[in-house]
Amino acid sequence: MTRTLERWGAVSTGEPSLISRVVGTLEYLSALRNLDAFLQAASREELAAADKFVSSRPQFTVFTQLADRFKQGPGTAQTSPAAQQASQKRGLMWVVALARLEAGAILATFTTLSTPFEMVGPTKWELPAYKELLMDGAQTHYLALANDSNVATVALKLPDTETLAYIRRLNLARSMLSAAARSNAAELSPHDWSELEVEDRQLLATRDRFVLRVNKSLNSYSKESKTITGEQYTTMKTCILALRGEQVELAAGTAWKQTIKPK
Amino acid sequence: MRHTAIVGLLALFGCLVLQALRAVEPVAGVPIFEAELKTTDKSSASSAVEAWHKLIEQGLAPAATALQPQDAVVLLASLKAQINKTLALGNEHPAFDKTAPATLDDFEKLFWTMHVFSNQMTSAGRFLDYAQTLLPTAKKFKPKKNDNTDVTVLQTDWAGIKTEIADLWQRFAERDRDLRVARLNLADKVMTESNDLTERLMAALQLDLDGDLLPQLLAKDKTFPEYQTRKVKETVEHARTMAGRDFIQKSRWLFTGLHWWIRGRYGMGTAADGLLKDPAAIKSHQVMFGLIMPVRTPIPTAPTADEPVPFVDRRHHYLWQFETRQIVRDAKSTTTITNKQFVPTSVSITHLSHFY
Repeated sequence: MTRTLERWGAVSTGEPSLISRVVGTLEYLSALRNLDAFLQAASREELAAADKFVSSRPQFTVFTQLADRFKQGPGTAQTSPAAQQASQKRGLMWVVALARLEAGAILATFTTLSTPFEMVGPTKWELPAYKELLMDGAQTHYLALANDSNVATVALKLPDTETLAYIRRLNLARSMLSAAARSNAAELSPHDWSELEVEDRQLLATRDRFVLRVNKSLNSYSKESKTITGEQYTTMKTCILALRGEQVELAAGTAWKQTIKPK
Repeated sequence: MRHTAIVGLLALFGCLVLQALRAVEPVAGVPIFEAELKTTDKSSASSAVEAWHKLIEQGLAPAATALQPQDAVVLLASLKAQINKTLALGNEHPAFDKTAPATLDDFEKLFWTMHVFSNQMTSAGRFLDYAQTLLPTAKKFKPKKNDNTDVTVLQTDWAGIKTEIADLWQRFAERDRDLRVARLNLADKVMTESNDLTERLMAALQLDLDGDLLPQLLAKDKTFPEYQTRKVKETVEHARTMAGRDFIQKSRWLFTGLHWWIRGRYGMGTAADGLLKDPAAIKSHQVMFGLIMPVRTPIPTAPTADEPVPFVDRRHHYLWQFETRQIVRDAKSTTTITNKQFVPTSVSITHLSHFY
């Protein structure tokens, strides 16, 4: 349930204030707190009635298949009426799933929590929708990163705030891919699974380039006793914390986010 | 509630105000609007007037540049026109239809239009107040030969307009009260007679809202007959009994959750293209709550639309882009700095093109 969020784990320097400022933290977590209470207390008939209400209101429509635009190249996204219709999801299940996805993504981006998408308390009831949104989100992030020619440049330059932004992006993409793979494991074919393995390895390789660059800078500072600005120092420190979260979890054996193993 | 919304809006319009001020900035001694009006481009003049309307709506106009008499006349005329438009809208508002809505759905739609109109009325009141402060400046205007500025606005009966606005507010408040009573009766009827659970959930929501609010309103309302106030209280009690406490609680959880969801989905903050709240949110509950929300019920579009609704398909697609760090007070320092020396976070943004 959402109340488990009261126990937020180690959060990188300076990040709690940012989490609070993100539009969606208070809103989606409050939505989940109430909707979870309803899901737990409602009878099957009451759930169906609530679902009917939500389905009848267009403002609750959730669009999916957002990764398709990358699969077919820019400007050639599916635009046929049938395809658009299929991507419009209505119902309480989709509303709850989207709230969990967005809340989980905020945690994945700005904290070093190992299981952000589990922390937001998915239930069996909306799991089909949650799994689909997770996979769609993971594919969107992976393909967007794969198409981003700026990644290589940022990974090579002296670490700065843009480096930190990309490390966060990679952390989020890997967290989401891991959660998507685990939640969809039963339905994925060996071929699909091996594709996810490849994506995961590529993301990890990109992340390792950032690790190398940050470490190189750090070593150079300590060996040469350079004076750096406070800004550089804090950025570097936050980069290290953002990168270290996963390593700490792996070392402690508590990590869920890890390289996807062959099926 | 209204206050928190305004706090949020004020922060958002911080940047808009700067743009607005630039739009109406005096050009080398030329009156603010004159440069625009002398061109044949009416849209420029109209944008400048709209910018002033925004400033007045946000209560920021007194801090803006003082107007020249001619500008004051132009602005005064536009304010009068806007107030008259709102008054005309009010007199024809569906809230004043003789028959009340027949379903809870229809009630919901009507109350939303009333909420929107109530905001327009608030703006009309601010326009009136500002118009009265403009009058002394406007009266100093001395038209030159061939000047076609319309000065008839100076003959306006502002006191009469004030009375009209006050009357409309009064009628509106009474109609709001009567419609709430009608909705309560319908909710009671649904709770007593209907087995449709969707309808019952909605009825429980209305009961939850009006059941608390109406008795408080009526207690202060000397124009509402006492026997009817008693009847309303009885209806509330009856409907609550028919609904049951558990069912009302479930309805409350459902609709409160959906309300928060709508805020998460469509709300805009005042920083970072609407994705972040003002830094003051960390210390102020009011700023933390304040969001810019759409005036009309949003209908989402495909994310590939030219102007997609909501403005971002998923927030998580963009959140990583904020380049955040903590800034140290000293420009130069060494790695021995401790966290205690840090001051609040600053934000810059990686280009969106890096994602799409």
